[in-house]
Amino acid sequence: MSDTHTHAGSHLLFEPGELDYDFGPGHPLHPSRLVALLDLLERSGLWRREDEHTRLPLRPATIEELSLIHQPDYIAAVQQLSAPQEAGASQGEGEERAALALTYGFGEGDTPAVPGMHEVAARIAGGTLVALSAVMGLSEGGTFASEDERPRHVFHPAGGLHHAMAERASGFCVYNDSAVAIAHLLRSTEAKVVYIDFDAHHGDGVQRAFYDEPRVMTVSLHETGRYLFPGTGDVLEVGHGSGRGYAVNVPLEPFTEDDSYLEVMNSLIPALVVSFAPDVIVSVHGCDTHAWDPLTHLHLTMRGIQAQMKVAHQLAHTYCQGRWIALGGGGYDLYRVVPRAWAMLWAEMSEQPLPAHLPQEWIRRWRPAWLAVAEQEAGEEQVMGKVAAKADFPTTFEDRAEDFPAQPRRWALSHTNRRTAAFVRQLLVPPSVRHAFPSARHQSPMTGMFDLLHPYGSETPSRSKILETHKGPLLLRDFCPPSLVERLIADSGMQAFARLPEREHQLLLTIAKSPDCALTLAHTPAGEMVGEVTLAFADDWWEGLENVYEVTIEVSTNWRRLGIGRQLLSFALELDTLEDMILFAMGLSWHWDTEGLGITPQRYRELIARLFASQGFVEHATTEPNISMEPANILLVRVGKRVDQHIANQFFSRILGPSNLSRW
Amino acid sequence: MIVREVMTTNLVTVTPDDTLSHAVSLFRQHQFHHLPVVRAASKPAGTPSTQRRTRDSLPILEGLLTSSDIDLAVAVETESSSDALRRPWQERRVAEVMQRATMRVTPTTSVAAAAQILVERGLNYLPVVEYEDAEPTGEPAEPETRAFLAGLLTRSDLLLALARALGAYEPGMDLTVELPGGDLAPLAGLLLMAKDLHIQVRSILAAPLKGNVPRVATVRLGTINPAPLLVRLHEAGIHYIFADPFVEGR
Repeated sequence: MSDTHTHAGSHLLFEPGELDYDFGPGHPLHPSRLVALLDLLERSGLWRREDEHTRLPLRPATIEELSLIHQPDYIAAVQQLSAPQEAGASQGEGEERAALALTYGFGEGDTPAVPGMHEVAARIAGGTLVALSAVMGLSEGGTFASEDERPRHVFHPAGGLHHAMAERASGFCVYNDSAVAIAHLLRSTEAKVVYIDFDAHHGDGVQRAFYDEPRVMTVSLHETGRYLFPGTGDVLEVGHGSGRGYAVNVPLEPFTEDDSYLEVMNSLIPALVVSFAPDVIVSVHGCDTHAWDPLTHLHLTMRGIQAQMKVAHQLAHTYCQGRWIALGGGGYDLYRVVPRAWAMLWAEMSEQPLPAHLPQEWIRRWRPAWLAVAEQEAGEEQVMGKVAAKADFPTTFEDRAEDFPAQPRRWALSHTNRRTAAFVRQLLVPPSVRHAFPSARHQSPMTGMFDLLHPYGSETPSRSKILETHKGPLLLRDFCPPSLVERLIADSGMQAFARLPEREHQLLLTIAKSPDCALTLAHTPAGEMVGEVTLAFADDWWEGLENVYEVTIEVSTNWRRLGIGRQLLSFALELDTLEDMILFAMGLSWHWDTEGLGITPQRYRELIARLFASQGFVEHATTEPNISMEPANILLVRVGKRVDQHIANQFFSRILGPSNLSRW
Repeated sequence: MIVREVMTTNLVTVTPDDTLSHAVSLFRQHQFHHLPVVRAASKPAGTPSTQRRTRDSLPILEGLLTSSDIDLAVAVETESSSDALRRPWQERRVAEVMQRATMRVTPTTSVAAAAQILVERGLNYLPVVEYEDAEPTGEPAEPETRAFLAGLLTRSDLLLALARALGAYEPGMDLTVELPGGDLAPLAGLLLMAKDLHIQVRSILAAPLKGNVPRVATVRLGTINPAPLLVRLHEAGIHYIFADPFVEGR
């Protein structure tokens, strides 16, 4: 793999100075993991230190840039603690220093104050800032001969110090490099950023920095904070003020393992990215999720870790024109996991195939380093509540399945995780996007939606109707086939769910292709779609209920106030078979474009209630957490005339029952 | 813990002469359900204005106005036919509909006692007042002792105090140790080890009680790396619970 031109605009940002981020021997976060990583990259021919095509020079972040996130007194304290203590310092000065360290989150345990740490932490923050600026075309990222030369992806392994807070150091992190870089981007452009944190610990520092910022969506998949540091990251932490709905937390159970992790990740991340429509992806690839990691219990293998990278990479290409920066993060099995995981990340980013085996000479160099600490690690695994794995040093990039015996209670744990993911979907993914991205395990209907609604068959695959409006005639059509949707285009005002008309079109196409979802469209004779109604099986969150279907509606902003919504809804729900079903529509205020419409959420709520009331929907009080957590949210229900009383009762006892939230 | 440490002091208030329409707009604007009614205390002449915020700068509590008092005023207006009440409710004065707020606590009341009052009386808030000093003559205090409003204690204040006491505002991890027969030695051992290892303790909760002795203690530790501590607990034979997966229906 010496042909460096196949790196597809990917850069690896590293400088030897970053290795000084070192809290001393025996500290879990040791820079030797980066030395081992670079050694592995070079020996397996994936990267060359002096290669001009993949290099990106960094510069330290300035005090001014750090203060975008950190408080001046904290930065001053870090600088002060960063200066080596004078030999002749009195005892009083020593005590004062210790008190200062404690005030700002430094202590002998996790994040000791070490000489030079301001410089190196600022250098790492600068690195991430350069990386993000480079892919976003800001001058701080350097100048390039042409647009084609501009990096599309950057990997900064030393970055990802996600626990650092505005006013204190925490969990091995001094300056929050991702937050500084994102804040700099927000200041310089109008871009929107999705931050995806795969580290096993909650990305609390970054979430806190952008908790009320609607231009940054933070998504963190982590081991639940019930026991684990930092203790935060609950599903209900969804953002504040105008940032409400843009903090996403997926707390997973200890011993989650690959299959459950992948199921949860795939049911959420793509749908969230579509609904947020970011300009760039910032991802943190802490590999402390691995089963061998001494600090955590998620118990993934390289299969799960590789899937994280692939998702981020693929989404960057699909939705962000390739703009993606990947950062390191945690990872405390320094020799067996970190080098392999991040070499894999670089291979994924630069689109190079991975060799089958780890280079022999690399194993010869690093296996002894692992052996030296292996015994201690085995002891620590045991006290952390894990079954000590007897695995030897790996010889391949991928893990061998036999080294990872199944954990007890696998089924029950994945069930809990599935409930968590279903709740996050209900809460934070707009309904239409949910219909286009069904979770892997839907409620296994015997037939598709069409057959279900036409039990005796139908003469035509779909009905149609002409609607006259002041702006001209519209065609209404139900069960729109994909072939039709492909020929239509989305009106410029169709953006309620995916934010861009082209994406909305893509979304509708996906829905049209799904047999589990009925799509009704309103379009002009010229082929512009101006409204849609979808009808789909209720999501996982409603698991256990029968005959419950969710309805969503959208009308282009250019075609409002013409009564189209009412007509379209009435047309879509005309089928007699719908009298056998319970239909519901959910309105969560943080998904509403109230700013674009210039009305209050309360007013918007009234509009929806009136629209659905025209089709026999009634507003229902509910204890459903996603509805009840905000007074403007609304649940509208229509129980069909022929619905069995028992089934209806079951539904109402669910929405009024003692909260479904007992476990949160 | 005493009330002073957890009460809300930055208060929005109304005066007895304010109109109900003013009060309603405050309720709407702040999404409150209750407002203290106060009047400014007349300052003794010559009080230096640079003085630290003392009792003298506090307003005198007249009563409390709740949103249901206003609901009632609105209802009375629509139902009543007498001319005296014919005035639109918006123009009526706070003093006409407010309550005297006889349940009060002082800043030095214990939080536990205040919490009990809230729960037993089904209240959502309590005014926190300081009373005028009794005359140095030793005369019994007059029944009309003036009460200065020092703050308001709400249920939210108590919940925040609870969260703070649990260490929820500090990043940390939770570790539970068993205390067989209420023996506190394992907890003491854990704390000494944490001190040795420079691990900060964010909070300690010894509960639940059974036979009047705590059976477990939950300690919140400010560390991301518990392994060294756990190794020592293990060596010392102290039983702990960490990273126990949650399984529904258990």
